[in-house]
Parts: sequence; structure tokens; C-alpha cells
Amino acid sequence: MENRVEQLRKERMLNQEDFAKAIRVSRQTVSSIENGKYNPSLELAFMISEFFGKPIEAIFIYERSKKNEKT
Amino acid sequence: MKKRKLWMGFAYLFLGLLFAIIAGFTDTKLESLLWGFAGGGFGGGGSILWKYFYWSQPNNKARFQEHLEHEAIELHDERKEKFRNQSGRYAYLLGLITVCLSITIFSVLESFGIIQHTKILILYLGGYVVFQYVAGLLIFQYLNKKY
Repeated sequence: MENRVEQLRKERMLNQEDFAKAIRVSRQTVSSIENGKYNPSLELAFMISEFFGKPIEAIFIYERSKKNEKT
Repeated sequence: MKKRKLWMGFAYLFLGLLFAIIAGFTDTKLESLLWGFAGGGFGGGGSILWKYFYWSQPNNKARFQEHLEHEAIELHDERKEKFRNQSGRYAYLLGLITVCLSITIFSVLESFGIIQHTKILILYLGGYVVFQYVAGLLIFQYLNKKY
């Protein structure tokens, strides 16, 4: 899943450390989310969306994969 | 820092001292074990007291709050929680494999007469494997029903 977390964070002039503190996760988790290595839970995704004041789908871009498609 | 930590540190030290006195002044076959308990009491108590006095200093109070905050975030970080669960799963599987291999190795060594009297050890390890496997299944069933 792709996301715009890094872009939105930079737009708000925040470093990873401060952003991580604001959403109460570790800096490594922020880094992993930004690099697309880790997909946050629904709860954390809502927290991030609330922090940026944007809907979840404007931050996290879900790409339907073949295995999830109905046959 | 909470006062409870101070009392806990003193309690550990007291227990360490108690075990050291028993180990030093009595003639018992458990002496080495008692010295081990004494060391644990002194080490644990000393460490708790050192932390208590260090973090209780007025100039460390702000840093202590930050330290607590950081600790709470690290503990409840969902990605790290996931990795902790995963590492527990791998450790569980590795443990099962290691014990099964140990049972085989001890059995083979006894068959060739290299070591003797391993039956009790093999029985214990066999029981442990069954216990670990059943505990894993039961905990899974419990969680599966609960959530």
C-alpha cells in the first residue's frame, strides 16, 4: 500500500521524531510506514488521518491486488 | 519516581542479605544456590535503588518524565508489538525443534553407551515438548474464542 505520510509530514515541517511523538509511536515505525515497509493498523491509520485532518483514503492509497479480487 | 520502588529495592537487598547470612553461617548442600539468590537480591536491589536515587534528583525530574513517555511509546508501539509476537512464535518453534533434537541426541548417545542414565532426562524433555505444544494449542483456542 502506498501512502503520502512523508509528503504530508514534510509539508508541516515536522521531523520523524516529532511526528512519531504526536501519534505516539516509535520513530522507526514512522520511517517504516513512510518507506512502505509497514502498513499501520486501522486505529493508527485513523490517528494519522486525524492528525493531518484528511480522510484516510487521501493518505493511504489501496491498490487492489489480483488475489483480493472476486472471481 | 514512585516510593514503592524504594521499598522494593530495600526488600531485595534485605532478601539478598538474608540468603547470604543463611549461606554463610549454615552448613547446607544448597549453599551455591543460596549464594546465587543472595547475588540476585544484592544485584536487583542495588540496581533498583540506584535508579530510584538517580531519577529522584530534582535536575533529572523532567528527563524522567520524558524517559517514562518514551518507554510507554516503545512498549505500546504496534509495529514493535507485532515483532515481539512474531519473535515469540519463532522462539516457540525453535524451542520445540531444539528439545526434539535433544531427545534424539540423548537417545542415540545412550544407545551407543557414550552416556548413561538419560531416561529421566528424556522423559522430562518429552513431557516438556508435550506441555509446550498443548499450552500453545490451548492459548490459541482461548484467544480464538475471546476475540
